[in-house]
Amino acid sequence: MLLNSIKINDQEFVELKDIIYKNSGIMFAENKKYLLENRLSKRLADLNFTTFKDYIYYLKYDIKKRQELDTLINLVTINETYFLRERGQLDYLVSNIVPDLIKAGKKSIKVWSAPCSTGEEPYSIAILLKNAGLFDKASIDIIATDINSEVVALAKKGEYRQASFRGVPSDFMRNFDVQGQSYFIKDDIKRHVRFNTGNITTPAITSLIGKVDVIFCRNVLIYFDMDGKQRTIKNFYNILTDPGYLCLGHSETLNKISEDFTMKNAGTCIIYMKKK
Amino acid sequence: MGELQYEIKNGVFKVHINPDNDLSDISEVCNIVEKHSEVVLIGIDLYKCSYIQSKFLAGLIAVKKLAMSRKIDIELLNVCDQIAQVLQSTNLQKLFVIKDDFASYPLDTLFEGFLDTEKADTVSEYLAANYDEKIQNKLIEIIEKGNPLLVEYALLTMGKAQDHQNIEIYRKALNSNEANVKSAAILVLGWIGDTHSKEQLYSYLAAKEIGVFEAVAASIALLSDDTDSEKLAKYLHDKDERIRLVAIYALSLINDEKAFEYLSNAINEEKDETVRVQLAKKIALFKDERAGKILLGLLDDASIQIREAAASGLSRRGSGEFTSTLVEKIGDRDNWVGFFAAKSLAGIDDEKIIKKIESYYDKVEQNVKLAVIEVLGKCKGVDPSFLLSKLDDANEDIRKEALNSLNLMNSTVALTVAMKLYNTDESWLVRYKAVDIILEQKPVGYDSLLRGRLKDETNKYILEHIIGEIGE
Repeated sequence: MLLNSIKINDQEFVELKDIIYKNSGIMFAENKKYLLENRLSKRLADLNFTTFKDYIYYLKYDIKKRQELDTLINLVTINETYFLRERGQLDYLVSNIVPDLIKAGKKSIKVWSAPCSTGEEPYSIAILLKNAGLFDKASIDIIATDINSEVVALAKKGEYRQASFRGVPSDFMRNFDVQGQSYFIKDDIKRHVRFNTGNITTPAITSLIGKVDVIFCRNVLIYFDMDGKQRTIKNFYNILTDPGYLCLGHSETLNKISEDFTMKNAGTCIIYMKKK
Repeated sequence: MGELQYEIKNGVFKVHINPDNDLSDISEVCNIVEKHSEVVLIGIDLYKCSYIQSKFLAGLIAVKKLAMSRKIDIELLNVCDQIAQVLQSTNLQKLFVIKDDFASYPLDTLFEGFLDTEKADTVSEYLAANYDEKIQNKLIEIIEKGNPLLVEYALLTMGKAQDHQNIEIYRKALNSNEANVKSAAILVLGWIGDTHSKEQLYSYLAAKEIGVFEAVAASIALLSDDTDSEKLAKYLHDKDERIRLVAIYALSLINDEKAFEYLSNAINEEKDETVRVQLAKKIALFKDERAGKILLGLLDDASIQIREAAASGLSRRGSGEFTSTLVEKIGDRDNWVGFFAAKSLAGIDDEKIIKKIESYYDKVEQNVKLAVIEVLGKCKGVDPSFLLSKLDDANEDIRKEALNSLNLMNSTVALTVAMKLYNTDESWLVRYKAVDIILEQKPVGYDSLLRGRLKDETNKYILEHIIGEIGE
């Protein structure tokens, strides 16, 4: 808000977005230039650089380039989220998907939240499942991953500020311990979620996660190019059990990306189901 | 088929597409452009569309072709993610500039943009630029409701709009428990020049919340009078390192003679490395001639961070009277000091010094080599043979930088080289730079030259660059 952002020119932009793409799968579109400027200007200033070109050379030629690449990816992949975001799919998971799986005889159910950012989504899932008493009816494992190691560390810590709660009902807050201006997720919720660092566009993620029944991957495909989207959805297809459910962001679609899923209109939300 | 809604104002032809508009409607866009020679920009607003049909895409291409033939710019406005995906999958995205245009948004929807971290700043700027009673009332309503994320941007918007009328609201927000709200209030009070709040701002210098102390420093600087440098200088001796950093920041923003005196004394007394680095960075921002001497002295500091900060500061100020020392520093044991030292020498026109700069090239690390090549492009009277010899280097950045510097030095020679490298260089970075130079100079037949290689070009960035300029 305070720092004047350093402007990035066209050549610098393509070079930097290529580095980010090759290391994260995220493709910054032309109209997202300002995002790179906003998110990286402070880092450039800290390193004494006044142009993005100098920073690119730092990423390529400094002895600590590997470390800086991690810093870069962490800075550009931070996505702010909040508890109970796009609640329709969360409610559908709790009221339909998980009960249906249990009815079908599933004893062990796995839900994957990717990318999980600072943990609001997987913890929301855990809270809703607990409130519905579903943890007592089956062994439900919630796995949460993100490419950004810093947000995963924050998610594991489970400490939140008020900005993470936007219009949540007051009884939702009983799942947190309040200390000053911080809200700590209670241990009985925390223990249901396992966090890991991982890139959803790479095949390696499938061995890290194993088979899952439900995937939440919301508001991230928009950052990938067509190839990245297709690779990611292919990974999801391979990793999902049968039946397998995929929840995307409300503005995202599989149109032109994959024909391996059937779209299901679940009233307040859309769910994709793996085709047999 | 629906009725085509549009307006033409100041050469801007803005078309609002409805979901029921079809190919014949988009063809009508071409007819209208044909009739209005004053049109310099076509804005196709897709705010009301959540999808587009393939026939519509064909129509868009026809409009693009017409726009290119008439040298009219074209923008797609308010493209939703689904449509963006269709454009991406059909490779049409590269043909259009895609932008948000908040003028199409209903006011209530626009305020929701405050919750979107990617959009909040631009929404706020737009509302401030179009500030009226309706927006003001809505912002006050948002503040009264108390959602901290919305309140922050409501305050900032009112401040940007220089709304002095509601000063009590900002003063009240100073006491908020939410750091983001407090920071916003502090900034706004600085922007609107509320000197009455200055004392209270000083009490927040020790604030621990991220953003608050930076806002305090900025606002104190904005509200400062002759007494503030002295007042802030006392904080340079505070035992809390963070408060010393805030004081340094605020003094650098005040940027008067007294502030310089205090900071230049502090760099001799300060023991903490982090604080000294900040002192070096901020001293570099003063125009005072003594700042250069201080930075030069810091080039021999024991701390690598301080040496680099000083060298970077000098590179921004230019070498001036310290040229000979800075030339020597190109070979510094710390290659980033060498990098910044080389960059500080832009504008040199002394042949001997230029030769000396060139002489370091073979002895230094890759990043310093790049800085040397860059700076030679900005010096006067450089023999281009040095740069020409680097066009065959194994490192693609060296070749790209040499081509760039050659272009700054002699654009005619650079164009000839660029036309060759566009066809032959194996690195897309070099070819991209070559395309840049060709498009910048647009020699006769440049479009055929670029088009001639399109089918063999495999790099998507270069393809987008060329097609965006000359079409497929």
